[in-house]
Amino acid sequence: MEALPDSTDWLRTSLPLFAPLESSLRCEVCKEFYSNPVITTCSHTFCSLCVRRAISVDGKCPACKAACQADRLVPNFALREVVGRWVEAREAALELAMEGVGKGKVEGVEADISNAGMKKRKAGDMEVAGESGEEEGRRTRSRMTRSSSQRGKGVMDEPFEIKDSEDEGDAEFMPDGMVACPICSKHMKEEQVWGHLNNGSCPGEQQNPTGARSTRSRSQNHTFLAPSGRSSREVPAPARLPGINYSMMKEKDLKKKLQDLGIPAWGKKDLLIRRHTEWLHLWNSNCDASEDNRKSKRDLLRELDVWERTRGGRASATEPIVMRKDFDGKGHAEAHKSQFDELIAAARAKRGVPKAKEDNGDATTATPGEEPQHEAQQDAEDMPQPTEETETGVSTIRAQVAATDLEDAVQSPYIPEATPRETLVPTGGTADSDERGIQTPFGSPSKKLPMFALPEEPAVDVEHSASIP
Amino acid sequence: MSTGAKKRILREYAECQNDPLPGVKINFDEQNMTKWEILMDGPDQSVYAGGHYKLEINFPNEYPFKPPVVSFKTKIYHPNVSNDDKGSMCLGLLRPEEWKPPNKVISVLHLIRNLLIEPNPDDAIELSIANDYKTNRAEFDKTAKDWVKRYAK
Repeated sequence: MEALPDSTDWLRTSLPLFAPLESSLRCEVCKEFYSNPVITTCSHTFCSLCVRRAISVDGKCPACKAACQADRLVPNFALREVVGRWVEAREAALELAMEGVGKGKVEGVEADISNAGMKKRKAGDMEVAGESGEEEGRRTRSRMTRSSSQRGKGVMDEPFEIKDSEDEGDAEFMPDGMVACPICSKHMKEEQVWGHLNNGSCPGEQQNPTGARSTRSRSQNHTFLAPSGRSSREVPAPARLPGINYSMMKEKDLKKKLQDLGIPAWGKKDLLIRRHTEWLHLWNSNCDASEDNRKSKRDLLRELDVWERTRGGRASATEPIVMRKDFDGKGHAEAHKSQFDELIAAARAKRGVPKAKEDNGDATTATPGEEPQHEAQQDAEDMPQPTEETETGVSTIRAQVAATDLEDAVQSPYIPEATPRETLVPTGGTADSDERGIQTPFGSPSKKLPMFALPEEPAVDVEHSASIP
Repeated sequence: MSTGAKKRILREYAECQNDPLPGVKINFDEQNMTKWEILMDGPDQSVYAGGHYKLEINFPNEYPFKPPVVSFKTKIYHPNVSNDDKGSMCLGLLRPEEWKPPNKVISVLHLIRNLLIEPNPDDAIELSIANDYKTNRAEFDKTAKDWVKRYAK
């Protein structure tokens, strides 16, 4: 098991008291360092995403069970700063604290993923190596305090005001599609620049901060860690999305809503609701992120896709029940290949060869692995036909096999290789199945359920009927 | 199950390993981390002393927003453990309405262990056993010890 960085790492060092300190910097729900911490109306703090998810489950604060609303969460800037600083200092501090114990090596210390970018600190920190742990403790703390007025090494003399100057660094945080005014460096859309220059709204070159500005510099204390925080006023945070009263909405309207949001809109209402809720969590928690940590919509969509595969419509909900983790799908398929082949051949013979061929053609012209095919086929198989039973078994097992193979490779989309070729052949080209295929060109959320709900009995049947001849 | 939940379970396991309870062993399968097998010895100061109990902790898909499900695989004569093939245990912080996401698995283990030492007859799942425990303690102790011999050796 890989060692996850944890607050208990400190217990083995000369600074065991840092364990509770660090655990207070971790979210109680996910036990990670707070990411985009927000504070609830009952004054508890959690990761934005964690608490949003928790609230959507029962509408209560995870810590005290007081009623809680997602739209009343506010970002906790100070804590965000502290956590950022701590994460930055942690690795080096832990290393030193370990040395204090005399271990001389760092075990179980792995940089947090979020920590990866912070490794440059070494040179500055290593010079204090060899000091006793206690001293290091003080040192670390003083470093923490110090760092609130200076960023890293080499900027000791930099006056605080510099953070507010807009003439440097802004370009790299330019949001997509925006350009800087050549005179005042204000961000705007390209086509707006001329109007901005011509109608006199450009305040002129390098205008010094006015009253409004100085307010900003004060209020920016908290985002000081994030150098780009300064541009936060130019680029307003993306607006949080409001919740929806789903029960008031028809499936069609909801679909439209999802399409408007630019997220996948397939599936039944239940799935649409769950997907929309998850999207709200992802989106709104991203709104709580600091400017430079904010993710693009594309990243969010990717996260939504991960959700889709683990919890959403593409997740095999019954996986742990139906499929044992140690089920050797490949082995099973290979071991019984001859039996499967026999069954397929028998089915073909019964169906009549021409039909099977037709079907084959259909299957190959369609996109391989397309889910709807599955569904149509499943539906067709639900028809009470004596020979179908065994075929259901075959196809379910094939699907299981494919799913087992893919089970761990969550990254790859669900495209079982075996599916189009082998499962479609015996389904028979009843007009019915074709029609259904057309009627439901897109997958529906329930498409996997029948597939995974069936397996056990048909699977038994296959063995049975195969062993009889 | 989301990655976050899996990570959280890993953390919980690490925490249990860092601070092991006496007489408690956890069989953790990384392939299927939502199901923990716990081997718990009956605490010395309890009537279950000498017994070895197998438990299961199952983490639902919604963990940590829903509580883990604890069940005794070994039969035990206890007012808070259902006397059927499930051996389910549902009280205190394990109740869905009482569960809080920050609750730790190690505190769940503590709870189980404390309940073995001191059953909670007021929150019982097996009322007859609870009654036995409250009114006829000697009889309860005897039956419990008998069950230890019969099922938990």
